[in-house]
Amino acid sequence: MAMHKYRETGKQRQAYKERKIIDHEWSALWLNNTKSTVVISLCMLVSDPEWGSCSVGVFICLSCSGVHRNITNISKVKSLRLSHWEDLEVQFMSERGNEVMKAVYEANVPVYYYKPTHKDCAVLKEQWIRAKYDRQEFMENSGKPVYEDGIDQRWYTDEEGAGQRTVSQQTIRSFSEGWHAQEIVDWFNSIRAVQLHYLQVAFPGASDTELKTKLTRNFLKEGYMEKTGPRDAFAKGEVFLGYRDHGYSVAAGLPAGTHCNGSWQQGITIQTPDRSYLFTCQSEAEQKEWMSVFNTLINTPMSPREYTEVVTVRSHRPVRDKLTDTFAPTRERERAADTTHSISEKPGLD
Amino acid sequence: MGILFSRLFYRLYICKRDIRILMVGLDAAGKTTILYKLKLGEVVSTLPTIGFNVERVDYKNISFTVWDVGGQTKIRSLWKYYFQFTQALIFVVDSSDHERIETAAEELHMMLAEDEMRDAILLVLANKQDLPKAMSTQELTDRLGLHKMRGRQWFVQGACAVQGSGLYEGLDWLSDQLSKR
Repeated sequence: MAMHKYRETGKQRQAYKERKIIDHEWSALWLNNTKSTVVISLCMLVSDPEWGSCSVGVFICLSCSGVHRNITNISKVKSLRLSHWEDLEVQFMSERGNEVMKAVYEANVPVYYYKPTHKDCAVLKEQWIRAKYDRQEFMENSGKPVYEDGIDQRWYTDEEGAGQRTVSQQTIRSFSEGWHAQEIVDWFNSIRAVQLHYLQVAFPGASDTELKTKLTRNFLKEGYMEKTGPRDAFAKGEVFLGYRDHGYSVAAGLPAGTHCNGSWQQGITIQTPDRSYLFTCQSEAEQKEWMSVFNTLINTPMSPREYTEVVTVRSHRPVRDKLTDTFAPTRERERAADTTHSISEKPGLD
Repeated sequence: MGILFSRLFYRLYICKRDIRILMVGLDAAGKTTILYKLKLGEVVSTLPTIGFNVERVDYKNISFTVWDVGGQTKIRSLWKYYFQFTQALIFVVDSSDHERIETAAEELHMMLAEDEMRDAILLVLANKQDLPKAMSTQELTDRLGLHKMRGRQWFVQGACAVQGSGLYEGLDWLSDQLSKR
């Protein structure tokens, strides 16, 4: 038995040595791939792109590899450390790599198209990967994308105010009625396409890059908190955050004697002119992140347009309650949108 | 007579048998998707398994403990640590992967040659039958060289994990075979 064990350890040691060599080769190749730009693809911000697509020629992280391996006709995924790579494959990877392939697959990304980062929710990331590699929507000769249909057909003739309201209702519907992930993301980008178009009309002198910052963006933060405190009900998942001068504030901690549930011990108190809302987080880091997002919102003055949007949104409350119910059956899910001050007003990309 | 009857009754209604199952196969064959389709009845989005997943699936009075072990090339050598006490082997094959079917066959036969796997019965799940280029169970049987095997009970079941078809048929075969023992 002892002999047997010893033999195994020896083998393992050998395997470990081999692995080290392979790691080294890969890291050299990988460094060559990342030297010039920091953010090359979705995965570049993740510290360990430990996977590779040996048919496309890009390096990816574990989470993206999960998506890539579902697109078997395009992408064949291998682990850099745990899979065997043929010499030809290694050569293929070294000739291509993320930057070269980006030039091919992202030759033609519309300026309004939302490019997710590794922090974004799964549906955005998956659809980005599918749009880029599977549907090849951004290549040199990909043609006019579907999300631009809206500009001339659906919304162009609409008066701005009415158009936006319809958009937000449609978006809410898309989530509560269980649209296909691709439709949701296409819809999200259609909205951005239309918005960009309006902005181009409104600010003829501005460049697209400048205007891009004004488009509907993704949430500042997405995640879970538990609500606690007195049992007076408030609409699920919905807390409106206004400007600090109008009586809105956020503080760490809860009033004395508030009940906390299990591991949800890190409290946040949101004070609004009407009442206070009590939330709990699972960790101090989470608590800090939420606090900083809330404070960013509260410290930003509201624009006249946002005041109008608040009115629009509040008149559609029942629909929104349905939406939040669908998404948060057990726990409160809070979403903080960055362009307006309402938490659940933006399309909930999840 | 009374003893016989009570035994039968016991076998049929009371006794819940525990079966230890090892589920292996090449990477991206669909092992984890199968495991969670059986366990939760849902298609979950999976990541490549590094290490293993284990779940207990109760079906027809049998409690299947299913070990799903990652299939990347270099961790296949770790499969052997799961062999002990394994009563049944589920070998998952991606039926649409024509390129690697020979590799799959090699891995399968290497594994079955191990002493600890002597008594294990073999269920081959021919997964991804919904894909256009999927090989038939007949073709897979040939290419995996199953006819050449001696002294082992085996069965090839066509399956599609995302639709959930073929999985329970596979478990049916396993429970039939194991209850004969």
